[in-house]
Amino acid sequence: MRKRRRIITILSYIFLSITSFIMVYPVLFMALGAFTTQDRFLEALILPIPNTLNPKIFKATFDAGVWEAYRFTFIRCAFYITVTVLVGLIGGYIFSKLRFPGKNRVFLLFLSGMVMPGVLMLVPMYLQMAWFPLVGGNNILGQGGHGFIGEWPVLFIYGWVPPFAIFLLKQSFDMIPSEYEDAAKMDGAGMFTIIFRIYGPLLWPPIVALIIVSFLGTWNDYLWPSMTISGHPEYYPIALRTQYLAVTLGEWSPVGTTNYPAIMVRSFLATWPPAAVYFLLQRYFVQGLVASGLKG
Amino acid sequence: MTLKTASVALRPREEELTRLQRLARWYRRHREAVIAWSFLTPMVIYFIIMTFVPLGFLIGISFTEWNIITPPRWVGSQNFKVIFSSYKNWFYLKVIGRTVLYAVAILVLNIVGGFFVALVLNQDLRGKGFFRTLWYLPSVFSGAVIALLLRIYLAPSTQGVLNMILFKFGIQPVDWTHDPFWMPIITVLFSVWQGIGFTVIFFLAGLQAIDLNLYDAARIDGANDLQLLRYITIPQMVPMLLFISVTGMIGSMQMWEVPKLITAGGPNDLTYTLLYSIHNDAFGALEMGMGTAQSLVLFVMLLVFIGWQLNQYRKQYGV
Repeated sequence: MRKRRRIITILSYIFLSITSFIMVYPVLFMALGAFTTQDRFLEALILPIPNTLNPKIFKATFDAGVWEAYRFTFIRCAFYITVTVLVGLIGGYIFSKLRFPGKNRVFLLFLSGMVMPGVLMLVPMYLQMAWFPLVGGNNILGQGGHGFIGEWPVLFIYGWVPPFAIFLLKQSFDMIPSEYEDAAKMDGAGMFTIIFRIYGPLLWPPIVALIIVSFLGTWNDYLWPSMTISGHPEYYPIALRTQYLAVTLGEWSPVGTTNYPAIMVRSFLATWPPAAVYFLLQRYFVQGLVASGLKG
Repeated sequence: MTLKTASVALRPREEELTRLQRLARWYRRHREAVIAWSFLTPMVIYFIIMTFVPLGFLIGISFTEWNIITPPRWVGSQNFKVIFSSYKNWFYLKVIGRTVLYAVAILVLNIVGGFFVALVLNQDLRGKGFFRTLWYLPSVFSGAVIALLLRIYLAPSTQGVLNMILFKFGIQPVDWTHDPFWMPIITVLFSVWQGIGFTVIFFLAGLQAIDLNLYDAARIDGANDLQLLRYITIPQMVPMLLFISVTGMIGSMQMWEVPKLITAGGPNDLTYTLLYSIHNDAFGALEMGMGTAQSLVLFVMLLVFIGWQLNQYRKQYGV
């Protein structure tokens, strides 16, 4: 029996080592390839072996607008993280701790947003932005101009009421007994004090989980910006900008020689922040999702 | 008796209250509702404008023929008739069937593979946190960035990184993106690669929530490992399975990265999925009516699937 256990353990390790390597292989290849010379890259047998920091390529890529893209993407991430956490906390508190008529119906309304397939709505959302009244040369009926299309607010206007955040935090509020706030209420504390001072510190695992989720979602956003602000590279988020750089810097050509390290550098610049955030905060990520999202 | 009369005397009669006092009393009684609705009203209005108005557009435009430039023309159910007709050799029905096939393949691999990995990771192994981290890693990256990277990996002749490596092992270059055998497989594997970490994490969470006493009790009754899996682990995982299959289906039916960024639907339309078709018709051919009609079909399919799943599980397991 014990021998069998041991065999299973060894087999598990072998299985996990191989499969984990396969899982990270494409990304690892890119990350290492970003730090090789072209010649060394072409020699790669299983993985390229780094031999340089590629300062020239990094500098050229940054000069071509990566700083700008980082700044813009970062602002957008900060905006969406703030909105998600704030609205999620307020909404979660209201649905969990307050009693009022119409509660279940409104909650269901928000939940219906969770089954709404986001990518499918892109076409009508595009039209809504193009027809937005009184913006971008539009009249009050939303005709005559280009609306929000091609303007930076188009990347900030959706998602202010995030159903997932409200749902997740409602579940978390449900698990904390209401007695916590009674004493504060006696002292005349307002709703915001109760939410942020009393419950806030107890809710940090789901809050951190939400921060990670909304950071990743915003950082990786590609399709919506590619539809709505094409032609305005200064507002491209990083995922789109790095692809655009491939065109402007002209390293990728289907016939000529490909400058592999340059391509790897660009992908690397777009992917290291999500990886870093995930590695730093992953424990809270799992904890937060598991603790609050699933028991409901 | 005296007490009661005293209290009645102390309380001001209704008509003696000023308007302000009445308001204050009403507020005290309905305080929670007032607070809740003063926050919820803007949220609900915003939510309806930003979610249900586009949904209305989607439904309305799907009954028109419209190229954005000239005014839309009402054509009734014509777009839907085209979708469900033999037009262009059953083109749209093939697209729908293909999308469902991809989604099912992705979902099955995701669930079977994810469950197996979760079982392996649920053992008492040293360093399992490290492996779990690696398994989830692909899910944190932008599908678009990885797809663009994949395009370089899969490029034809030894220009492509994959061919370059295989060539060193003596394997002749393959034109991956134009290969009708490999490209569908790569498409499925790409989606599984991106999504399986999510499945593993949620299955792991579910496994860890199972009461260990159940296993002990069954072992005392002489159950073997396989029976434990069949009669305890799997039934206990049903709610999680429901959650994963619903979210996974919604995700994999909307797969777009590979056709849009790598293959343009090819080879032989083998990666021409519904979402790519929607995008192509709406913004490529400027047939907004066709694009939105297909979106609506996909939306209804997803709703039917979710409803069917919920119903099925409720019937069988009383979830």
